[in-house]
Amino acid sequence: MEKINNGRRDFLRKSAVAALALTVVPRHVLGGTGYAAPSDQLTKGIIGVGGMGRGHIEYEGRLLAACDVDKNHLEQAIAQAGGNITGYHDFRELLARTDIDVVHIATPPHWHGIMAKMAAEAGKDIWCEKPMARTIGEGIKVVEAVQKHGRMFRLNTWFRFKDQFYGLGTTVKPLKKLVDSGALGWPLKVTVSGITGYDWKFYWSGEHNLKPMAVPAELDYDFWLGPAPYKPYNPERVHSKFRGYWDYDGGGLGDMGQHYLDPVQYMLGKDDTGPVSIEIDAPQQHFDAVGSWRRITYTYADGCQIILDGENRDKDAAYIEGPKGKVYKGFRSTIPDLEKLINSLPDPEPQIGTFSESVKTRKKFALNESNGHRSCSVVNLGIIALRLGRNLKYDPVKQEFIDDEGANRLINQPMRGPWKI
Amino acid sequence: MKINRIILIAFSLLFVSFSSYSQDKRTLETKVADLLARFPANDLQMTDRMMGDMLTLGEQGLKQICDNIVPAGTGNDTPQCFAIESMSRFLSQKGKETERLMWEGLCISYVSTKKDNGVKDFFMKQLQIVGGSKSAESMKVYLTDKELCEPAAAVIIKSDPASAEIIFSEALKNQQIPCAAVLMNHLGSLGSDKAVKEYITWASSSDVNIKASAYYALAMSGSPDANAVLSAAAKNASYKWEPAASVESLLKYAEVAGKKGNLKASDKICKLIMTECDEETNIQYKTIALNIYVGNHGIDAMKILQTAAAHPNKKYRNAAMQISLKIQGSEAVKNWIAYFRKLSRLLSLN
Repeated sequence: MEKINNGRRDFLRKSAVAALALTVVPRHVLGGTGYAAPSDQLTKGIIGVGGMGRGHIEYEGRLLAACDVDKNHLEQAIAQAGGNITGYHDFRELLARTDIDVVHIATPPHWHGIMAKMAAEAGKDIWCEKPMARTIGEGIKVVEAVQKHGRMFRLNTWFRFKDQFYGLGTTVKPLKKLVDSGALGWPLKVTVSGITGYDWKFYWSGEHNLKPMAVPAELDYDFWLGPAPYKPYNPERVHSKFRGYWDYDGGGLGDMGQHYLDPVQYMLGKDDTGPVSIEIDAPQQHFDAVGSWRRITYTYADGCQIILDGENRDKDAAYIEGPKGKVYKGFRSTIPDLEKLINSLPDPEPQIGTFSESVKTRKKFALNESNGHRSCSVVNLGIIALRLGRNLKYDPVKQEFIDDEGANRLINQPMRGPWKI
Repeated sequence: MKINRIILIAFSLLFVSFSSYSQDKRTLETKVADLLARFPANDLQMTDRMMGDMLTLGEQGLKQICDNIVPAGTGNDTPQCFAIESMSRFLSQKGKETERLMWEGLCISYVSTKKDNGVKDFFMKQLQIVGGSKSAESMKVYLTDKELCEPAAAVIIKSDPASAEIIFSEALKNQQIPCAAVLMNHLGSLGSDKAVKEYITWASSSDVNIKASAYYALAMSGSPDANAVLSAAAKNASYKWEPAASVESLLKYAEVAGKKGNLKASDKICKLIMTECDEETNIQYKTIALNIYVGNHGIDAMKILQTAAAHPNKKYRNAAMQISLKIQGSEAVKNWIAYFRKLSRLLSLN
């Protein structure tokens, strides 16, 4: 049944693309001599211009505006951009600009979902920082909004389509070819740890028992909190420290998880699904501040596993391990003549790795709202298990936990007014 | 060898007997202090054991822990917070219903008796995890409190969505309610039509945030009474995006109304938006209107889809092709084949 649908979808897609390209694409859209295609002048605005957001100034697109609830951040961003941009305090004013094509969202994660959804509603294409959303429910809403409004979405991690990633010493492409070929066998176990070249950044742990302090004049703390529960201001909560608190992110797992897990989801062919069980080995977590953990094991319906080894316990761990072979850090492998084998294998489906191309062609970016939501869900599943302090069973089709009302209450979390998603 | 074994067993029994004797002698205060000193547990097994030990302290012991939650900045209650939060999460799992009810009652009593709003808020957060119908009923008195209205609403919606619909609808009649936006957001997410009259009143607020929530709740209600308000708001916004999201809400209304069988109203809105929204800045609304229309009519919407496929805006054309995938069955494929053949013939004639 699934194959029939896919065939029909493929047929429609291919026919439509071919026919439209040949027949009905008007000249003013294609551009060329005498015509200025709208997409030739891609413009952008950035929401959240702290450390991460100011990095987005250099990304593709002509910057017209920036927004931040911290006056100092905003002033720094305007200066870095050469002064010729408009600064905003309220992101909705930036969204209302009709001359901005792409909105970059580089705020802390508790804002990502709301802003991405509103940007889609305002007709913007979206370039969003990782993790895509702070909860699974928010991710689902972003997917719906982006697709319903016909928007293009890019999540800002890139290892599924370019760059050597961490300790692997290769891009993901040859690994994907190897996995798809079946040369490693099936199911596969992927271990993400310091041994295989990763770093979980446990220094993103929060402080306990924070004392209320006066809010600095340059910061609109209430707007910074936005949908997050009100907690008295303390500098530990904001700016470079927010990752250490569950209300805004999820520590090293929230920060680095999607970087590490997204290429694995892609390699394993899990872009439209997720794990069915999540098992943790961790100390009890503080209710406010994120702590460290030792191990998280995700198991998929077909037996594939992803193991996050926070303590680098397994000194001989392979990055990918299957019944027929293993691949280690530095792309070493037990498979003989690996390079020759990989060269003989077909390439995976091509991916669009430049967002302006995606915006121009209206073809999905390599890491888009759909697969981005799924890899972000893996991160959020781990976070929920850690916070609850128990192992969980998950239904990746319904996107809810099985027989666990407590865990299901964390799929959508209450938002402070007036914010909603 | 045998004697050694007997001596060893005897000493072990003596040791166990002494330890139990000394445990029995510990006061409740000491037991609580000992337990709190053990937090945080190092793993899941230890967590389970410690939660079991905490429950064996009984109501008096649990109260000793809860009594020591203090306003932020006035003392270190981290071990107590740790214990209470851990208990709530532990009891939120299946099979702990009896203990959960006991714990819920205790947390409700602390919300009621504690004076500091920060402390009340802390216990309300526990109820967001373990609350049931009793919590929903107990929290409604806080909906008129400026500081506690939102956490109370969060407890009510998480604890008992069915009661939440009635409680929030009733609360919205009070024009002084401090968190009207939140209540309407929750009612909107429930698709409730119990307070349409109140939504309409709140929609006339000058506060854009309240207006946005009222529009959203009206849209989700699918009530015929919502149509005029939302249509006027969208027209007033010139069918462009604005923070109150009036066009978005009108379209959401069209979708809900269509699903409720009011196709006439739904189609009328879709056609209006498809006519009015033809600029680069509001083409996304045209896309949604097409999407809803196709959802309403399936294969009978092919003509409008094929018109969309020839639209000059690439984003809209592309969206039209994606939307056509929603139509089930082979008829759509046949229609597209005929359409593309016709286009090819036209192309070859040129």
